[in-house]
Amino acid sequence: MSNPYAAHQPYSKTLKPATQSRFARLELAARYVRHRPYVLLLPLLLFFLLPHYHKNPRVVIILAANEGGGVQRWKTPQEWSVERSSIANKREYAEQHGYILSIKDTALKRRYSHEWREGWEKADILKQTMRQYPEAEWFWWLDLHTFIMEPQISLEEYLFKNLENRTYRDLSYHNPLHIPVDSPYVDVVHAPVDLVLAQDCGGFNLGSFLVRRSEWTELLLDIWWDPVFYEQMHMTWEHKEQDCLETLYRTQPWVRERVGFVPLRAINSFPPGACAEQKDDPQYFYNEKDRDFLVNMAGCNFGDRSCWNEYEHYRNLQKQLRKSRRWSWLPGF
Amino acid sequence: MHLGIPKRSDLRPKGKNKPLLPIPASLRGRFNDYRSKKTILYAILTFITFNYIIRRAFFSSGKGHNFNHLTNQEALQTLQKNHGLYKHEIIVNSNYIFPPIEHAPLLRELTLDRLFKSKVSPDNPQEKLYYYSDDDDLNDLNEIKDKSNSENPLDQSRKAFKEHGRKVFRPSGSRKSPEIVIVTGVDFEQFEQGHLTKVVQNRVDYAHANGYGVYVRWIQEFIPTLQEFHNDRKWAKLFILRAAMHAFPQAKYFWYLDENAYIMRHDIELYSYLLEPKSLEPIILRDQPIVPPNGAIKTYKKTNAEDVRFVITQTKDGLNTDSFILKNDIYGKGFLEFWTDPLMRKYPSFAGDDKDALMHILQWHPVILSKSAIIPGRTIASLHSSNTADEADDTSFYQEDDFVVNFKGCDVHHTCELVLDSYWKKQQAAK
Repeated sequence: MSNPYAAHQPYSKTLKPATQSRFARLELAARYVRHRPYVLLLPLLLFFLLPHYHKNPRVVIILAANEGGGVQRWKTPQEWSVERSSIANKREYAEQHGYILSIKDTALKRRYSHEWREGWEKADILKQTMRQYPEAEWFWWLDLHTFIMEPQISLEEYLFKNLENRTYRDLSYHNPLHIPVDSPYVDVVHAPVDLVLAQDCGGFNLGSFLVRRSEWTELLLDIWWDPVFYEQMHMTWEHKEQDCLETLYRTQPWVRERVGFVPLRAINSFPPGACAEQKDDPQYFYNEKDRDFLVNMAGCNFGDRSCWNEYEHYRNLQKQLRKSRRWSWLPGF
Repeated sequence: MHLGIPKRSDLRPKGKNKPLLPIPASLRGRFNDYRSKKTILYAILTFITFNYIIRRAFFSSGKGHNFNHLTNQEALQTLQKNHGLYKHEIIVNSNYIFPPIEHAPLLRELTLDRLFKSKVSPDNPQEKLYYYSDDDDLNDLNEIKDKSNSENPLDQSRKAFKEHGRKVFRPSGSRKSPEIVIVTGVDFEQFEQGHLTKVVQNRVDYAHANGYGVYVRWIQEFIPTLQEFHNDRKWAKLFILRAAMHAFPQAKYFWYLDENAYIMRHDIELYSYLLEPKSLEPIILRDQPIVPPNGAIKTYKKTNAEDVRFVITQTKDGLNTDSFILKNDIYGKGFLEFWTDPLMRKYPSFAGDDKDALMHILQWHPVILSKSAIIPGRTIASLHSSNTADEADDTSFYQEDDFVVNFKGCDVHHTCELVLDSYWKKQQAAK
């Protein structure tokens, strides 16, 4: 050592303990673990538990319950049952992934009582829910007659990852409404996707869609209902807010820019019976083999369909599918 | 006889090597061998690994939690090109985009019939409907180019008219995009060349003094769109403004200044004068009725200057759309496109005046209202008055050293040229 003071230091300070093996600590740890192998499980346990609870939920599921309910007629026991299963299904899904489930009552209200105005309460409910959960980013609107078939799928993994490149940014692939595909002033290359929509055989489907909190969404929800538009079109807009959104998409480039379309079966598969004119087209209907994510029994209370029968069918089917997947959480099974 | 007294052989120390789970006595013999335990462990691990590999290899499609099997990958790749009203655009490198004003008399001579294709209206056989046709226009342009050597001034002006709307500014090299762009629509049917020259020169001079951009279009370029719903020509300003936002995509603010307004002060820099939050904050008119003098809906009491995307003034008849500033972001674009939506223009009581649609929007859409600011009239639109009695109202009428003078309503009395001339002379004299 070249330390010039080394010579003057007392003898006791230059004496060092015997050098330890470089891996002494590691050996100590290894010995500890060998005798208590269960400590290895602890971090594993944390790994499985933490991702859901360490952050604020990013996703709010809005379930429109009590659709058209009110004092006009009584709810049948079957309707109660369907509603209960639907809520249980979403609650289970939300709990599994750490999302918030917000059940909204869409009973008939006085303020929407002019002819067809009920549809637009969607916009009001979305605005209100966004205020209610200021931390959440995504809002997933679900109609009552939807059923999540594959609850193990997380939306982050399934949808939000790389969203801009996995959604259709125009209607060229599927255009049942014949909306002009090209529009001036649309810059899809630089615009994010703030609304995830699917189209069925008749156009946009608002039974299951997702919106992101953003300036764009704030403005869209504000202009969705306008008295001047409504006064001119309420006789023509058979599907109310849905037709209105289609019109906005058609005529206002800024709306078009941030809508991302997914195939119907990605978020909103139909049971056989819906889209009756195109019952042979596989792109609309639930496919058990492909394990489609969600079934929307839209229109099950019309014609000779029965909501309760359909709901029970898919509930049982999900049980079976789940049984076959019982060990899937084990690596290799 | 066993008395419960432990034998010597039972008194073994409880070492740390004690296994966690007791192994049943009958099996103890087999498990005693450490090596066989390890073998079993290995066997299980191998089984899991192989199982995993096999499943990944043969059943991978079923396991992937995505919807890629439902989408057409090729269709995902095709994205629409961002273009304006015309698909074929001309990129220019100048901050000042304005039509050749000297063409005004020629264009008037050509008339709309030779500037547009037309068809007979299905509702009214007397009426001619003009329409855009991108491809036809291109053919026309080529045709004109072919015989451009003839230097027929009519052909030249027609070509310039058709090309003008295709011009977009894209920054290149050292030239950066201007932050603020002044937008004006000029009407060659209503005004003479001399008058229009003064208007455009005024914008260019002001922009040059402050490093802004200028975007001027002929109002006649938008006749086909105006005809759709029999809209008044006032509506053209909104189409011109939208085109300006496309022509200067990186600009931050757009100031629409109608042809019946004149900038008197070239030394005023718009951003620090008005747009900066600390300049805007004190002059926002809060709790101000949108429909004067006592409309039920008023502007917010707590509008934050930083949130403002739309700045406009008010006269005693309502909002003054001759001069307003719009921010170039998603709110600005959304608001403007909502304002010009066909259903707005079609509505009978709005067809005559864009201002009525605007007042409707601000009264019914709280989000838009919360991003809008009404400011005193003399900031960006001091009204001209020939009546000296009006000058007692010092909040809206022009006084010496005001920024902008607005001769609103001059077209009713056909005095626009005279009035502008008087201000032009005033400005020249000041120099």
